[in-house]
Amino acid sequence: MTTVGELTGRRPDRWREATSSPFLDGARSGDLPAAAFDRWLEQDRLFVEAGARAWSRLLIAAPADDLPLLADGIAASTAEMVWFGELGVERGLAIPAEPLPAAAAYHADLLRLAGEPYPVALAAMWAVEAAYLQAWRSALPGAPAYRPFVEHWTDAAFATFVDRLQAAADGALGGASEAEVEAAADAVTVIAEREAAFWAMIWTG
Amino acid sequence: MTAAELFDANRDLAEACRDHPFLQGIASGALDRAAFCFYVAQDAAFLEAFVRAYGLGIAKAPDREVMTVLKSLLDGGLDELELHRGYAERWGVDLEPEPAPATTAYTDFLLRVAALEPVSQLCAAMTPCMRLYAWLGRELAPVAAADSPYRKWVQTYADPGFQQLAVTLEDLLDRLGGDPAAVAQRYRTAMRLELAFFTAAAEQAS
Repeated sequence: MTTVGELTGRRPDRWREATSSPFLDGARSGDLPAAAFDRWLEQDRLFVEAGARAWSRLLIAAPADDLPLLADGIAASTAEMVWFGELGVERGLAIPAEPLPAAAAYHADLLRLAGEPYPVALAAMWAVEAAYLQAWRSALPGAPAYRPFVEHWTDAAFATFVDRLQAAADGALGGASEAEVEAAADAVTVIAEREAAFWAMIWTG
Repeated sequence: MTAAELFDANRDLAEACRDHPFLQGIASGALDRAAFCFYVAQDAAFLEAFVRAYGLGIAKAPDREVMTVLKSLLDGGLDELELHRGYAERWGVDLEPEPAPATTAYTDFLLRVAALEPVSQLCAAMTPCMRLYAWLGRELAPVAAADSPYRKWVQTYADPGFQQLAVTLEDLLDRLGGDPAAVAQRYRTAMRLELAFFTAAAEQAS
């Protein structure tokens, strides 16, 4: 049976680029300029909103047993929206009217993939969350200025959620057609490419 | 029309539901067990669609605040589904029944509005379920027999927590506004479908 973990192994180069970058290295070492981090935060804030909408789209086709998991995905996104709102006030962040091109392309692909057959859509959502967790883990423990952020994006609750998501995504792939498995593999690669571009969108060292 | 005015305009259907043999049987305790079990199973199928409709609402929400409100309502729907699982265990109900025509008429309507129409009209289609049940809970609680086996059902919908969920959705409906004629029509259609849902359950009495 194919698993989402195996799908990332089909294009290890893409997954590596999605989960490591000079941006993350800079957050670990402290070399990342504060202004660049703030511009990136503004884009991530917009992405979280797109993520909540994407999670919601999956509800339409999900098996009943997965509804609580998807609700938790929406909850995590809406909680992050609130967190970003407070952070925005604290750091004086702007709310950009439009995402930067790399972010806009990611939003579009994410929302498109969320409307694909359920095993494909769930694999894509897993790729988003798993890549994000793995990427921020690469920045642990984080330079003092970034440590609270690195810890926030690698905390135990998020890791547990990604584990639950992986189990559900693997289960969905288990019942998927061959064409859906191939589409899920393509979706994971697309997400990995968009993640890599998102890291590189503001600062490349 | 505001949400309160919409409910007033549909009071004929609300009262028809309250006075329906199914609801009166719930209050008195005389309702046939088969009818209640049928209702619980069909309502679980309905609630599943209701939760999915909230999901589509979130996906199309005009701003973050609307997304957050719809998410809180979605959680209320999931809690209610949990409650039905409790009933199912207690009453031996199969929660994955073949949906009855009255159920599919209602879920098809909701999901069609959710998929194709603005969030304001989706709220109009979803509010009757919340407001009607909150109203029925309040109307039936004082007259429900102390020994009715269905008393917990009445208490659930009379509960202030459920009343608040109804108000939350009504506030959202008022805030979103929308095309008044379409909003009023979706509201009335949902009220009619509620009445038909109770009738379908009552017809299952053995």
